[in-house]
Amino acid sequence: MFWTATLIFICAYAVIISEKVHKTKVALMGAALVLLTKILLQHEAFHDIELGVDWNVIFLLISMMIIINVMTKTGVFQYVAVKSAKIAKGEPFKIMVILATITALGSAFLDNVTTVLLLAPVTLLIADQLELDPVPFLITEALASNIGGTATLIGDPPNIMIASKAGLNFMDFIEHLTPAIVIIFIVWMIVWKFVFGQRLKVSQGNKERIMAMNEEELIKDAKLLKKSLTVLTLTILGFVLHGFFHYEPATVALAGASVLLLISGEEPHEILAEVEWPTIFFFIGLFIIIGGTVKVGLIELLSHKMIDITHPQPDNMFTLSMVILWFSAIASAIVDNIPFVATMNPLLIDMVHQVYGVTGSATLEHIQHPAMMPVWWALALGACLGGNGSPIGASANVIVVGMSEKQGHPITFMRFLKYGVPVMFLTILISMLYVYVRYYVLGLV
Amino acid sequence: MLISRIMRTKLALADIECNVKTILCKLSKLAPRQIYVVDDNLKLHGIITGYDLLKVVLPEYADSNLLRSVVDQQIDDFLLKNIERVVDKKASEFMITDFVYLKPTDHAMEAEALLVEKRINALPVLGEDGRLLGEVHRRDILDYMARLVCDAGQEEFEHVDVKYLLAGSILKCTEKL
Repeated sequence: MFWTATLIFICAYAVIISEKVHKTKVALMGAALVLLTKILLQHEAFHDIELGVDWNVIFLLISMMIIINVMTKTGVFQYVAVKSAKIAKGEPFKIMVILATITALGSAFLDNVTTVLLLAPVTLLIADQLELDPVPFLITEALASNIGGTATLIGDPPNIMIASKAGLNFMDFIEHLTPAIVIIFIVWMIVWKFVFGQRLKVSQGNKERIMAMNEEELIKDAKLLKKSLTVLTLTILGFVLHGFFHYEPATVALAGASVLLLISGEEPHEILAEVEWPTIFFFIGLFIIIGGTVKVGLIELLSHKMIDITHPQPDNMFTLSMVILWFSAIASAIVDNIPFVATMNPLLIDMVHQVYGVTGSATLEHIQHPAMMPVWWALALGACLGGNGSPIGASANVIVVGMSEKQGHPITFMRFLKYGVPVMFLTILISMLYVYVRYYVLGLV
Repeated sequence: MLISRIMRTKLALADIECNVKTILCKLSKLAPRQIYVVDDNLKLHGIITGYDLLKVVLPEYADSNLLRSVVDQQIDDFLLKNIERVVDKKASEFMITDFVYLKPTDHAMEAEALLVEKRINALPVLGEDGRLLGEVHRRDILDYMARLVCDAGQEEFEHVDVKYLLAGSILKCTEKL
């Protein structure tokens, strides 16, 4: 059983990395093999909290996708982008900063890919009007979406997975990751000022073109916008309070999605058809494959190796958190951060068992032990920010590269690396300092 | 009725080296259903419709909602810029190469079914060697169907200039002609 599960795990990940076959097909096939070989029984795969599909993650993702799908129909993102360009009075660098801020904020509360998909077309139009190369703007948006998405529980799938596994709530992320991301974003924009501040120059005539744009026309459905903004605000408020009321994040998101579906007047089959089902089934398949490796002891073996390397102590896991931060960042730049975190989560839980000598299921007391918390935050920071390290490191990067190429501005692998790698190293370096100073110098766990 | 008896043979042609500008002008001047991209032996390589030209000029990112933000006074400038961006694109770069076609020995209802199934306006008619022989437009099929059913009296149909139309003056289909 051990070798069969290991073989399925390695083969599935190898094919996913090779991108020869769609990752959802691979994950589902792997899951089917895990079930057919009875490494996991179907009951375990569907109903066991430790081994099976994490339905909290699945329903949180589906619900947020429903809310986003309704919001997309309102045109609000295009409106905000054009309005911002006008507020910046057509100054290219100011536009770049404002668009990056909007992307980061949007990605913190919505899906990164959707945020970029909605903002990239209007960015291309603005760059067209300014007669500027859109590539620096587009890459900045992709990087901003990955940075912004790191700030909250719902910002990026790795955070959703970590929150679910470690029992963390929305406010934990706001308290621990949002300050790091605010610092990172400000430092990054200062660096960007040196890189692009002087390079982006346009004529007065082109600036006037931006000022002449009519953003009011971009709101497609004002009534729907009011409804969806109200529901999104209430949903975010629900996330803020979910720990207090003891609701899981998925419950809050599902409530928001169902209310919006009910009051929006949109056809459910249209909204549901736009849910990214391939991503959802990718998660389901991965959870089952990983569940198999947990059951047969592969994850336990890997966690022993990790303990040998990092020597975590029950009251201090500094080396482990630093190793996890850098390892996650580099791994996420190369491979999809979702399967990476799906593997790291049970591995860290197993380490909790071993370091604290827990037999049976680990309780929140151990999983959220003050010495363990920096490790979870390091994993989130590394996995999310590492996505900036290559054009294939995050879905938002892939989208931007594809859109730019279709528009006649191909972004080569190397050109993306030129922007992405320094930003990845900068952000991980700041994260490292943040984790070190906050948790190991100031002790603000 | 065989296709060879209803097909048109006066067609607008282009070769694969023709650029967007030439094809756009040809389309505007000749107003054909579509332009056929052929070689010296009239072998069909691709088809270009008005829709393909609209699509190639429209920026990939643009949609009807986004373009509302560009004000009227600037739209000509914006359109011209987009035409200039693609003006040198060759026919081979945007023609449709995956096309369906008819044979001269097919009959009219096969053409009708293909036009409906593929939701297209016209079909090329090709010989055994892939040589372009003609075109059947959905108008041709409709004319053929009309010839089978319409009475002589209905030849009195005429266009109405809506600029001068008075309320209540539209001839109802229930009224006797």
